[in-house]
Amino acid sequence: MQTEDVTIINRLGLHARAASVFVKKSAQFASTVTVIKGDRKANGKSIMSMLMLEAAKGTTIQLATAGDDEVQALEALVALVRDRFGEDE
Amino acid sequence: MDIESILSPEHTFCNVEATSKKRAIEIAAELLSRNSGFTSDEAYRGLIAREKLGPTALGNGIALPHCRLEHCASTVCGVFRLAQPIDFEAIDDEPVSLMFVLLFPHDEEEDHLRTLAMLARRFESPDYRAHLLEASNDTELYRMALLDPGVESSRHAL
Repeated sequence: MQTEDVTIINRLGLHARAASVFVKKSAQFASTVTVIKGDRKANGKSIMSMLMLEAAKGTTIQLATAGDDEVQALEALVALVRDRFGEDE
Repeated sequence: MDIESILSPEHTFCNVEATSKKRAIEIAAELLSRNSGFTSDEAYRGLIAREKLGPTALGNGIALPHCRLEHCASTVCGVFRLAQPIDFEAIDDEPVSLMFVLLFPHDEEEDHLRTLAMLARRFESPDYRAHLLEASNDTELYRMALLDPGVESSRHAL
């Protein structure tokens, strides 16, 4: 398993579009993706599960990937969060 | 944040006939703009513009079209049970039978994530989804929408 902490920096936080973009990226990998915020865990391949985290801008989340492509999956997902999920602000 | 504060019985619609996502959103915009500060055209344009950024289908047959509106005083939620499931370009390819539409005030940011999380928690429950699909009229759909899947006794309390 690979893990890395990353801070959400886009203005709107983990809103519906960001969660959807994240899940689409997760789905490209065979590894399981878990997103942890405090004592809450979400399935990184489910939009609903991700929305339940209620993660606003400034929140640090932990990404955990496990599987054959866990290294590539973690790298891609951390990059996506740092890139503001592709959003402008 | 609870669903009662944004959903009223007047905004709960069972068996909505729509053959496309565009038409379903048009109907929702029309119904939710009644007695509101915004026009159906404003709501329609806002919702469609948001869909163009990426479909709001969440998976499991539920879609959450939403947008911010200039003339919206407080968050409005509408629940639409579609008579026939329609394609919503969902990530799991499941057609959508339940549409929860959210219209947020223009400057609203604080409650946005809280509202999404509150609804997502309900949508995660297979029981909640089944109850909504079983409702046979608007009143029943409203009562089902208020159920809290996290509270075992909430159904009996109604």
